[in-house]
Amino acid sequence: MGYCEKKMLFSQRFGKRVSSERVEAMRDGVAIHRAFHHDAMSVAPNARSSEAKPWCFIASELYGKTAWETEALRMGRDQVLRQHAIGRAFIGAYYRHSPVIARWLHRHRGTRALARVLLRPLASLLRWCLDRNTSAHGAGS
Amino acid sequence: MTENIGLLILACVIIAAVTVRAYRVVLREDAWLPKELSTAKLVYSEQLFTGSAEMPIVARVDRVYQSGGLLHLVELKTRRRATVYEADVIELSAQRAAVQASTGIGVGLRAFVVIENPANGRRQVRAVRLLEEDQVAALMTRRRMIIGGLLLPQETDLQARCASCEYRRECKGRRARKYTRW
Repeated sequence: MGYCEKKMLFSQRFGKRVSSERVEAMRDGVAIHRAFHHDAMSVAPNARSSEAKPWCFIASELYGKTAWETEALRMGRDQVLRQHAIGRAFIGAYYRHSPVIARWLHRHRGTRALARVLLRPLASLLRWCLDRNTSAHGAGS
Repeated sequence: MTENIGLLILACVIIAAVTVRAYRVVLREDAWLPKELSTAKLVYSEQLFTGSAEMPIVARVDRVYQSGGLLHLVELKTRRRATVYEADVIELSAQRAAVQASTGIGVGLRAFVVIENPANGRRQVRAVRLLEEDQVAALMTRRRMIIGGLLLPQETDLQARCASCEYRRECKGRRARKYTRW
């Protein structure tokens, strides 16, 4: 709607089509949106977001975006760190510096392997604690 | 001793770099933030909202500010010209309905479109007046009717859009026929 109703109908009927110029523009748009979101999280680390947590840069770089370790660290951030002022300050600092660290880790395979080993016990501990917490709440309800 | 001095200098450089970076972000934000939002609190960024059963809209909102018990929407667009289109108003109005239904907090009818020029990174802001909920509902009904074949769709008034449209081959409009003569 708004631009052209015919286009809206055709995209429903024939599927969404995107020209190569549009793909290029969309790629720029995504990068600019990411920077805009990054700025938002820098000035207001407590702001809520359902963004696919793109700034779990370090865990995503080490284990992959969908790995259980990344998920456990992400949950730890939301359920443990976000609850306290110091934790929120840490998250703010993390958002600011983790992209640089992640890029550095990407270039240094040895350090990446070492960091992966060092962070895994923390991820395991967080997962165990959070699972325990969830089952305790489940039993309580 | 020399090592300690070296570490101290390194620490100073890191602290200075972090401070400059944080200050730049603040300056970049201040450059476009409208007066109405200068004291508002940023409460959501890139947040997904789901509308009500009567208005089933799922909207991802770029930013939501809270001020005086009201929420205010901010939408980022990347364009070379700082122009706001009707589609932006419709998009923000749909977002407004979803945010209101999802949070239960009133959302202001005045929203902001931040337009970033991808060539130079300059951000400009434009205030827009959003549609009322009944107008959004009417648009949704119209959309459903067009898709269901109960209403004839209208074509755009902007000729430039037809020239770059991916569906001009299928389109039977007068202008589209002109562009399919290749």
